[in-house]
Amino acid sequence: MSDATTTSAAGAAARIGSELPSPTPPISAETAGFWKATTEGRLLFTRCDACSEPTWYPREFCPHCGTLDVTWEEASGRGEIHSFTVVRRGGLGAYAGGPPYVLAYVELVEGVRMMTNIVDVDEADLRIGLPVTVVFHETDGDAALPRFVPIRR
Amino acid sequence: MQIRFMPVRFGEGYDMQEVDDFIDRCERSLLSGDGSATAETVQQHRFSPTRFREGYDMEDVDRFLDAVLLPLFTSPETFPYDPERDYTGADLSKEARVLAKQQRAAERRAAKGERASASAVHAAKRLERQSVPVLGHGEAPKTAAAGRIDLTHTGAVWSGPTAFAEAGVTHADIDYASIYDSFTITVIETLEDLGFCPKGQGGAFVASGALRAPDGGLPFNTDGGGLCNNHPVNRGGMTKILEAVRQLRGEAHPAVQVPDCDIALAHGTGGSLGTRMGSATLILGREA
Repeated sequence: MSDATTTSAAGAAARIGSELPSPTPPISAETAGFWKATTEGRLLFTRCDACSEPTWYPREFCPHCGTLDVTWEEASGRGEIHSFTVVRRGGLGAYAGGPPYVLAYVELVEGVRMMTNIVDVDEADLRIGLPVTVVFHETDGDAALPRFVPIRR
Repeated sequence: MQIRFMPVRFGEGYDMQEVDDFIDRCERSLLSGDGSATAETVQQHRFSPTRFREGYDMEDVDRFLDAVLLPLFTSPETFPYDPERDYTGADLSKEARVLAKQQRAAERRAAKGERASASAVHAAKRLERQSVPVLGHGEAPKTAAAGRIDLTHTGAVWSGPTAFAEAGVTHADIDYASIYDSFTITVIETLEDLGFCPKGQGGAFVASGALRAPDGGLPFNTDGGGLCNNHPVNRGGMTKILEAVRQLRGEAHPAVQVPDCDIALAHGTGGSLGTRMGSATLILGREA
């Protein structure tokens, strides 16, 4: 089935996640560096110096082997949809009463799965395994929200 | 032998005289113990079909041979032949399962009788009600695993086996289940994780009617559960225990009360299946 057929079959209102709210996340001393990087268009995670395992969410210790020696690395920003759901009736905070949006786990090529949103996507294109890349949505604070869009070829 | 078969007039049936004669022959052998008829005789016997005249319903007769006559020959100690009994509709293999279950329950009660604490026993006596002992329990947290979350299971894969092992019971022993039901998927994943059906078969298991009370294979949430009746904010697991206790005491609504409910399972889920969560499984029994 061609993309054109898919789009027409799904209808004109199939574009989803283009108008998501971008609430400012809570920022602490431990997370300030991570959020600062997002405002510069960089997605950071931590990797253990001892066992080399990557960790998400990033933190100043390794939950896999227990060491405190970790290094902040910049992720490629590419990955694929591990799983997703379309939330048609948001219930919490800034998301309450808004338009439908996609809640997803994206597995980064670095190997970790992060909860996020898929935005600016045709609903009919959503599938597990869909290649995606990160985008950053500005907030009112010193942080941007890492979300993902399909990689268009 | 007291047995009635459904007659068929127009479709194919078994010759009535042949069936009557065969049952008389088996009865004589059962009464005398002369070995002139055996389980093999029952398994190998064939009846002539009838057409356009009255016969016995073939399925009805076949079912009787398998569910009554065969066990009478193969397990005479468990099922001594009783000429006074009306065997119409009887299912001796089911009766055997019930007997075995009751025996296992009695053994468990004997083994665990010493374990209840003195104060709990005292309080239970003062209440003058059927008490409900805890046979087994298990608890397990599940996290997002530092970026390796597996969404295909819940913490019940760990809490369930722990509870079953402590109780010393199998899935076939569970007469009733209360399973926390915040959403449909919560129940389906939990049924699979607790081992009531294979992974991926939860939907088909539910669609088969297995959860219907009181006659399904696993009567479930007979108070309506969280989705249809109750959800006390963050304590949805408590009402699961309440209905399990009602079932064990025979105090559930008569339309859904499971007959002879001896062993019940209650399962609670906390947190979010999609991120981090806790699972708790409880297996409850009934004192004699």
